[in-house]
Order: sequence, then C-alpha cells, then structure tokens
Amino acid sequence: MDPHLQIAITLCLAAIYPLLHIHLRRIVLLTASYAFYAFINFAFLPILAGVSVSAFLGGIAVERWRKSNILTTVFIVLLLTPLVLYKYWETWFGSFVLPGIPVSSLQFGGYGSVLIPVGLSFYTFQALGYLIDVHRKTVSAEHNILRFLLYMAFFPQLLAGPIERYKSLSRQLWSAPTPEFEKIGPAVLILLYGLFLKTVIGDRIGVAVDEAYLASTVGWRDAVTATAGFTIQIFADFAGYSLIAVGTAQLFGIDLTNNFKQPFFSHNLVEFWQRWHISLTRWIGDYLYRPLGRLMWRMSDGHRMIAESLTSIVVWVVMGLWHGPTLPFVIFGALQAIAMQAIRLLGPDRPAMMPPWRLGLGMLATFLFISVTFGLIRTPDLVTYAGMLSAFMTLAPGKAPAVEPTILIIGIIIMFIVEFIFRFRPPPRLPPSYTFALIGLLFIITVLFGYDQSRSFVYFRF
Amino acid sequence: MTNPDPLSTFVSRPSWHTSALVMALIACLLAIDRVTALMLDFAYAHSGASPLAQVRAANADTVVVGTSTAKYAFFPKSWPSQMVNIAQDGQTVLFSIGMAVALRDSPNVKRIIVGIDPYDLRSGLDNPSAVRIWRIAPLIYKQPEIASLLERTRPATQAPISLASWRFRGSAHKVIERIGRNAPPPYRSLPQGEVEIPVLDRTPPKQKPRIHPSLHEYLLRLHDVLIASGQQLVLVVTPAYLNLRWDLPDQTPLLDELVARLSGVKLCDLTKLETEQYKSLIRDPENFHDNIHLTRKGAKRYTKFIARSVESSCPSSVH
Repeated sequence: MDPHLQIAITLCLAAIYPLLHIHLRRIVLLTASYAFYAFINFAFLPILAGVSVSAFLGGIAVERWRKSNILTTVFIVLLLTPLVLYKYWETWFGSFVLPGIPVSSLQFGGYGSVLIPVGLSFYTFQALGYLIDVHRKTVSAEHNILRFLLYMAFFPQLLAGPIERYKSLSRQLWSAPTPEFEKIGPAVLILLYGLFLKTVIGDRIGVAVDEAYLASTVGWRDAVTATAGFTIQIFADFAGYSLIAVGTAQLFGIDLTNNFKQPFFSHNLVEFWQRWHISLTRWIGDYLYRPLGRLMWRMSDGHRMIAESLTSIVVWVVMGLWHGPTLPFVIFGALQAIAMQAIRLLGPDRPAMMPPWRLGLGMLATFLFISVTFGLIRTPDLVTYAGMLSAFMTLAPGKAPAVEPTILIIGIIIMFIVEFIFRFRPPPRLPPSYTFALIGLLFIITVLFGYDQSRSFVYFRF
Repeated sequence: MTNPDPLSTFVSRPSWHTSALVMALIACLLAIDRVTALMLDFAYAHSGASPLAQVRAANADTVVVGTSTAKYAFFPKSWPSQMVNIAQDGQTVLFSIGMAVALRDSPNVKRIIVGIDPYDLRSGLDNPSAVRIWRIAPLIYKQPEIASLLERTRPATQAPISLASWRFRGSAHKVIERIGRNAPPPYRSLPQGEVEIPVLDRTPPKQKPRIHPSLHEYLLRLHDVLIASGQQLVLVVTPAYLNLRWDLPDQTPLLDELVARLSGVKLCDLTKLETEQYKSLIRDPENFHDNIHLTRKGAKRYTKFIARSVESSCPSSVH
C-alpha cells in the first residue's frame, strides 16, 4: 500500500480511536491490522493466521509440558517451516510453486517464482521469541486467542518490525490506552519524518541504485551509487518505515522500540550494529547469541576467544541468511563477524575519551566498510558485485543517473543534520507551536518533493 | 474476551480532547494543502517552471515536444524562426500529446514539432514513464479536454488520495532542479555515452502492431484541439544511429496509424524522411552522443535539415 494512503487511513483511525470503549479499540486494532495485511495480498492472510495460531497453541503446550525440550523444538521447527518454504526452499532445493500463492515478480523480494509473504521473517521471529520466553518462564502462555492475534498482527510494525517482545507489546495493546494529548503532535512529527526519509530520499536514490546495477559497463560513480548510495537508501527506507511505525503506534497510545539510533555516527562496527536494526540484534542476542555462546564456551573448554569467535561467526551467518538465502548474504554475515572480532582483538576502547578526529575517522571507516558489505545484500550475484568493486579503480564515471540530485542532496543533508543532533544531544522537547509548525512543513515537503513513483519498502523483501 | 483489569479501564477511558486534536490536525493539514496549492498555482503560471511561460517569454512560433531524443535533437538557435524546445527526459508519447493540447493556449504558436522516440511509440499508459506527465500536471489540469484523463496515469496505489498541491510535485522538482530553462540543450547533463553498431531485428512482427488502446482517447482529444486551433503539427521520428525507418518494421504501421488518427489536422508528416542528406547525418558517429541522442553538432545539423524539409514539404505562413 502506498505510504501516503496508509498514513491517511491511520490518521482517520487515530481520530476515532480515543472515543471508543476499550473492547472496541481492541477490535479496531485487530481488524485494521488484518485489513492492511489483506490489502497487500489476500493470499498472505492465511500464512499470518497460521503462524499466529501455531505459536498460540505452541505456547499453551510448551507451558504445560515445559520440561520437554523436544516439544519446544517441534514448535520452533513448525514456526520456521513457512519461512523456510517461502524464503529458502526454492533457492536451496529447487523449483516448486506453493499452491494458492500467486507467482509474482520480485516486487516484494520473492526469490525465483515464489512470492514471499511480506513481513514473514519479522512476525515469525516475534512468534519464536514468545515461544522461547514461555519455555524459559519469562512469560506465561497466553490463553486468549484475540489478545495473541493482536500481538502478532499489530499493523504499524507487522511488515518490517520493530520485532517486539510479547511481554511489553501485548500488555500495552490489550490495555488499549488512550493516546496522551501531549504525545499526538510528536507522534505525527515522527511519522512524517519517517515518510520524508522514505519518499524524499529512499525512493529517489533507489532509482539510481537500480540503474547502477542494470548498467552493462560500470564506472566509479556507479560503484559509489551501488554501495554508499544503497546504504543511504536502505537506512532512509528502513529507518523511515520504523519511524512511521513508532509514530503510528504512539497515535494509538503504544510505545514501540526505536529501531535505529544514529548508526552512521558509530565510531566502529560493533557500535554500528548496536545502533542499526536494534530490535533484531537484541532478538538475536537474547535467543541465539547468548545460548550459543554458553554452548560454545562449554565445547571449547572455556577458551573465551575461540568460543566468542565461533559464536560470532555462526550468529552473523544466521543474520546474513535472515536477510536472504544466497551466498552473498552468507558472505555479508561472515564479513561482519570477522571485522567485529578483529575490532575486539584490538581491546576495549572508550569513545568518550577519543579526540574528535579519531571519532570522525572511525565513523568514516565504519561507513565505508558498511557500504561495501551492504552491496552484498543488494547485488544480484557475486560476479556483478566483483564488477562493482573493481569499478572503484576505474576513471570512467559510469552511467548511473542522478535522479533530481539537488533535492536528493538537500534531503540527505537534512537527514544527516538530524542524525547528528540526535546523536550528540538528548532529543529536544519542542514547544507545541514548533512541533505543529514542523508538522506543516514536513507535510508540504513530502507532498511536493516525495519521489513520483512510490516503491515498496526495501526491508519488506527480508 | 476477558474483562480488562482496573488499570486498563483507567488508562483507556474515552478522550474527546485527543480525538478533537487529531481531527483538528487533519483539518489543518488539508487547509495547508489548499493554501499551498493556490500559492503554487500563481507561482507556476509566472515562472520558468511552466513550459507555457517559456513559450510566452520567447514569443515562440515553433515548439518542440517529445522525449529526451527530441530534447537533444533540436537546437533552437538553428531554427529559422523563434523556437522553444520543451521536450523532456524520460517522457512517453503521452507527454507530447498533453503538451500539444496545452499549447493551444499560446496563440503565437503556429507549429508544434512532435519528436517521436524511434523505439518507443507503442507504449501507452502501462509504461511506468507515463506517470511523468504529472510533471506538467498544473497545465494539464487547466485543459478540460484532458484533465480527467490525467487521473488515469496516477499510480493505482495513490488513487484514493487527492491533495490539491500534489499536482505541483513535478513542477516543484523542476524549480529546484532548474530543468525548465529555455536554453540550448544541456548536453553536459547527458550521462556518458557512446555509439554502437545497432543489432537490427528485421523479422516482420507476427501481429500488426497497433497504438496502445489507452492512448486512443488522448489522440482523439488532440485531434479535436488541433483542428480548432489550426496549429500545424509536424511529426518526426528522431534520428537513431545507422537506423532508417525500414530497419524497424514494427514501427511503420504504428506511424501510419498515428497519421490516420490525425487526419483532418494540419499535419506535416516527416516520419519517412530518407533523403541522402538524412542518411549521411545518421551515418556520422560524430553527430551522436549515443545511439539515440544527438550531440550539439548533430542537433544543429538535424534542426536545419528539418527546417528545410518543413519548408519544402509543408510550407506555411509561420516563417
């Protein structure tokens, strides 16, 4: 769905929502969530419902027979089955088409002929987190199916996160709080800033990135567009989506995790991944990194370096595979793991004690590394990627067009200024008059300078 | 459904204040949209972002419309009378039709040259570039004949939203990017290119190609408007390196159909130009930036060639 339309509907819903009784609010949220999802593709609906019901039943069963690890494993495998079938099967095991699912182009990032249900990775991880939490007794199993369905399908974060924990999100959703009067302005401002990132920067730079990958012969400008350009695109797009999600949720009185904390102002790669897609890295940390780390520790007879390195490589390969099923994604993950282990080998650092030039150099090096490796999750194959890297050495500029470059550059400068301010200062508390003036300004900017042809969010494909 | 706990009931009590604030916010945003649209409408009509303003400023009698191939093919200073080239990058034939209709509001314009992309006559509203006609949306909205048709190029996902300032999106970009200047074609803005020996597919098409049905209604409106305005329409297919019309057998029926659909209009059909002079122009690689875009030198030569051809084939009182 076009983000403008979704926001328009959301605002209308948000106007009615505070007037409703608590039961009606829950029903409105659940209905709207499923309706938004069905609007994208009706055939996706059974997958969402199936994963949700499986996790619901799985939670009850796991709570009842908590000592049985096998039962938990069975349900985890069951929850992962749709993800494997839709996202990985065709690439790994060969061609087949699932019955009842329309075969489509790559619009939503389907690989080959299978169309991946949008958001499948995100809500599967949310379901897995719940199941493991029940197994660990962190939460009690939910016995109210409506409450659980709402947790799984809450529309602002359904398609591309943030991946929320059951404990925090479900309680908020079920209590259906009245949105605070004072928070409406900031919520709309966050939402519109997300839309600005998506439509003014992400969509516009995305055209140039696509063209760079289509070029038969590439030059250095194509290579820069395909790597650094893609990094900015994916940030503008994904952070944009996350902000729209956070702002939308606040309109309904719900607080979501802030998924990005100025990642481009990280002094090294370790810090970058603490600031990028925070809900996923936390999820991986809680449910994979720490349990696996303990296992590796035991297996390596307490050798910390070996245990850490092996854990890091396995976890990052999984992170790579979460983004996609092919070899470039695996290499992407492995490179992150190797680079982070190398940074850890250098010993602890204290960014607060560093001189500004060293921080700046670290930020630049991090951005360069991230840009080069992010190319791996965008490239159609490794040969194209190798061609892009070798193009850095050429003198020819290449053919990638700059789409409305002045608007794009102004947009990127605004984005970096905002990121810079929020990185080094606490978020300012704006007076209401400033907030509403900024809302009006951002509204007009996105209407006038959003890119003509809206594109689906990049992270929908993951 | 279980009963809510007391805390939930407390935090969930209905709030008229919050609801009213959201409603007021929506109303304010809509008002801002309307006011902005009014201001932009005034600014657009008086700025170089409007192609019509350029035409008026130059007091032009001849206007070129079309895609990037036409933009780089016609060099206004090489034309014997006042010419303005308002062809734009990345447009489809739909843009040419829309612009030709809008030019009826410029009484000085006696001749409209439509430069047709040598490889892109068949595309209709299904072409993703068709949406770019929104770059001249403020003009199109003032043409009752085609205003309603503009809505059909709006991406389906955006259809339900109707913001008044939305139509200025393309022109606001142009103001910022300074695209709308009436100046010699900005050849420097062309991406790096080179000519290649074209690989020709001369197999006749299995089915007779037809103009895309979605364009029929637009052509009908163009036909009516041109008959009423009496402006001359010059049809040319912009040059392609080493390609003549007969090299592209599927294009010929399309051009014939186009000419037939415009019967009764003061038409100058130069789509079948194959003189020795033209052949020598398309065989010289120095005239081409890449296979379909001319260099400045090529554009000067081509513009003079078309001027002579118009003079000899379709003389009129324009000069």
